[in-house]
Amino acid sequence: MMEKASILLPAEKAVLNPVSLMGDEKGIYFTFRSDLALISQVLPAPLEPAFPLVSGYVVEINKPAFCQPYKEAMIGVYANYNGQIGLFPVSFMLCGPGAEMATLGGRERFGLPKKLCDSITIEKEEGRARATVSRGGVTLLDVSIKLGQYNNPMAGMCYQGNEPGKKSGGMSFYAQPVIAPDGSGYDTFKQVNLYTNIAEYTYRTWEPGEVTVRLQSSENDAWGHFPVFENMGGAFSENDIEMKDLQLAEVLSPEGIINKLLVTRYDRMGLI
Amino acid sequence: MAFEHLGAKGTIGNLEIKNRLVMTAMGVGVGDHSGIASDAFIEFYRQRAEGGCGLIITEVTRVNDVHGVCEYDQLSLSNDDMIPSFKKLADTIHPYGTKIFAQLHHPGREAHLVINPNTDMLVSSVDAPSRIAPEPTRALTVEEIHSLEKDFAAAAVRAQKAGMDGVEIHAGHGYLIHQFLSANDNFRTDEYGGSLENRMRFLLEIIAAIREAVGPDYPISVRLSSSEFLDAVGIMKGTTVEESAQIAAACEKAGVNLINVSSGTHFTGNTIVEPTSYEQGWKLPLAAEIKKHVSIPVSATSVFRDPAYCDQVLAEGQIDFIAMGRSWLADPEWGTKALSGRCDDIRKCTGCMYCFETAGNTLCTGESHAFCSINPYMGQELEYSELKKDGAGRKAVVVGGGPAGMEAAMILAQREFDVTLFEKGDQLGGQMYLASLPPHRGKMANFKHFAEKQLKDLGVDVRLNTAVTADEIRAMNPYTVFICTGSAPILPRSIKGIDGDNVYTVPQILREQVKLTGKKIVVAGAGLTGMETAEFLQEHGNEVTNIDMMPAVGFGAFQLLLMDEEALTAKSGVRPMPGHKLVEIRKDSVLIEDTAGYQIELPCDAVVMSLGVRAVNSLKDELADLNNVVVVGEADKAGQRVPQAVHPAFEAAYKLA
Repeated sequence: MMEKASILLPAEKAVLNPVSLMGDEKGIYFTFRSDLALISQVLPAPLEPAFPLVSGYVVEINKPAFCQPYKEAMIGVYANYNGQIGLFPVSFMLCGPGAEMATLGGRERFGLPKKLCDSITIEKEEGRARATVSRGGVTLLDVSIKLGQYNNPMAGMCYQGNEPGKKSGGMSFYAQPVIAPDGSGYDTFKQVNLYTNIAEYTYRTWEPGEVTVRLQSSENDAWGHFPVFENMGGAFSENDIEMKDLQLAEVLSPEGIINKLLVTRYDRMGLI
Repeated sequence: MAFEHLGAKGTIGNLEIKNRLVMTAMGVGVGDHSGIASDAFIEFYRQRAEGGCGLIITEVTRVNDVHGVCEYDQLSLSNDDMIPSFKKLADTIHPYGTKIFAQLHHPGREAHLVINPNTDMLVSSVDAPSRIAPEPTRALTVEEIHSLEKDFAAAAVRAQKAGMDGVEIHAGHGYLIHQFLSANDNFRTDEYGGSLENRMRFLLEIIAAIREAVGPDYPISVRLSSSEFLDAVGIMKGTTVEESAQIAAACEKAGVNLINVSSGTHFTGNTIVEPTSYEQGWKLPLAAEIKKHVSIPVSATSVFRDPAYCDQVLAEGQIDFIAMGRSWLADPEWGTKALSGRCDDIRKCTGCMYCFETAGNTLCTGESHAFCSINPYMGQELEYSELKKDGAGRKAVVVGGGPAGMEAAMILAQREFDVTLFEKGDQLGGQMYLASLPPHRGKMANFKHFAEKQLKDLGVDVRLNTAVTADEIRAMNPYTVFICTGSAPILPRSIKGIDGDNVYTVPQILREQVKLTGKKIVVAGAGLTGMETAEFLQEHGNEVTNIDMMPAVGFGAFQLLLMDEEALTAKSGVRPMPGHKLVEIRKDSVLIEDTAGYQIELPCDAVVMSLGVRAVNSLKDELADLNNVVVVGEADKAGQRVPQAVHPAFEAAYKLA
């Protein structure tokens, strides 16, 4: 029998679930070489570009610990923060039954730049796979993979020698804008919280392959910001991801960086 | 004197320099593995002295043999055995009134263990390896720092003993001393890291050690990178011009007599040796800013090509000396030609980077040396030391006015053949002229302009708009025929729709025989030519997608040229799409297929084909019965670059029996 609807939660249940698990993930992972200057444009200081590489994925998340299943796509760039190298996700797109909660949870808990989108498709057939991401009638990403080996063996640098059964940890950086009243009756960008986070991947499958990445921009989602100069490689993978060790690394002044963070969270008219 | 400021005497300390022309240090690999100044090297520098250079600064000269080797055939002043050859070098240069400094250098981590067999780790300010060519690297100890300072001083004393007129300390370009100066590189926590005062300490101690060893009057220059330009890629801790000005002032206080300003670090290598796209004078403001903070002379590089511009820079007092590198490779007589007002006779560097590419190729092996794409003599001065003038008015026919044809015609005319050059188009220059037409590539026409002037002065009969036939050539009864007919675009018949009226070639677009604006265009082929054509079309108001079946754009291109073109592509807004094969051209779209075999329809109004070229050389068979028929350039092998046209043409014309 369905639990009776109520605005109230029992007090003991009104706590954050410490486990943020994206269970039974399946989809395409990809990396391409792009332009370092354009990569640097999207990074909030003090993050600096580490490599001229852009990585991303398009996956279905069948057993998330916090909501119904959903699909998610991400593109991100590699950043250097005081000698630590990690991925700075630039934009996420989500759809499916659990997408709204995953979007809100990701944005509010970790500052992730998540939006809901029209559709995400993932098709796998013998020896190859293809995925697309569309929002506002524009196909922002269309990526395919020919399973076998990476386009460029250097892609392995990004994927840490992933293989079935392997666990690997990856550092990520998130920047969360904090909005609060400014004392004069209006709200303002008060600060930006810079987080570090370790995502622990447990791979059930990891099938490397040659990727072909096609990106396009729409008015509100500039996924075409990054030109594809070289398809480096990727994989079709099934795995579980758990986010661990979330740390507030630094509180940043919004000045000079907030403009890099808004459009990936709110459409252009969102806060105007 | 054509340019009074360029020709005016200058001084560095108490040393008088006969004019304001400096040849900067360039590692060209002409030397000997032992480190001596070889005869080939001495002749290389002698010709630049004879050609009017006021001050020559030798290539990077090592001071330490354990971990300080930068190139296989590099000059060395690391021991006394080197002194005699440096004395011979100085004695050879001086009769021309030219002065010569030895550039003292240590590469730090920007080296390779294979050419430093006496160590198992490279050294730097810290234990971080190079970002460009990472190899095991450790931080120098304080004791080692002090020892290296003595190495620099000892090398300076050897230069002085050899009669060299001064020394230059290389403190820029990301090499060892710069690895101490840059806050981005140096995160030591001792007295050699942290504050600028600490980061400068190594350099200032080297200066002090040299000054103490060579006495108060011996000229010392310091080469600085005014800016690392790392901020352009989001790295904010790199050397800035403000910091460099402070470093320059500290150098002056320490007894330095010249600040020689450059820019860049290995990570931003295109700001050290700039590709064609960089404009003359682009970094001059940085040197001018440094000059405001010192009272000693300032020399600087800045893609200098035109004497009039250089004279103006000096007249305005922006800097005191015009420093050039590649300009002296392209034309050893740059100085005498400029100062006598023969500016159109200067073989001006195109910025094609072939010298840098060939120098790099041989860096670790010494198998060859740097070459200049448009000056085949460069680095081969001893081999090509005497051009025979034995043409005796015999008829020479050159067919095709591209770089191969122009070079062959010039050499044959210098040999006193009676040369007729046929060009079926309305311009000389061939593919090289075409290469000068995309945005930022104008300097690629430098060789065309030079050759046109030379051909006119040499009395070559240049016939434009003339497609000569085999019978017409035969009727001229030529002693030799050079077939330099170049290439034509490949239009694969396997692509459905290739004959459509929405399909164009690169020459049609760049020569503006077809003008496209406001269109959606697919450029098929993303080699450098395709990328530049895409950029050209995008700048003409089109929305351009540049596809290529290879997984990467610019396949096979020299890395630094590709980096430059990728940066320009990124700025232009062209959408590169590597990994896509053109399958079919339709009226309003193209069908493309990706690496995984998925087919995608891409809407477009026009398609420009840049899938390579095929050789055009039908005359080769038609003239098989004649003697001395030479096929060179793309007519011989399509898909080549300028040096593969110019050099074989030069060699064939030079050696023609």
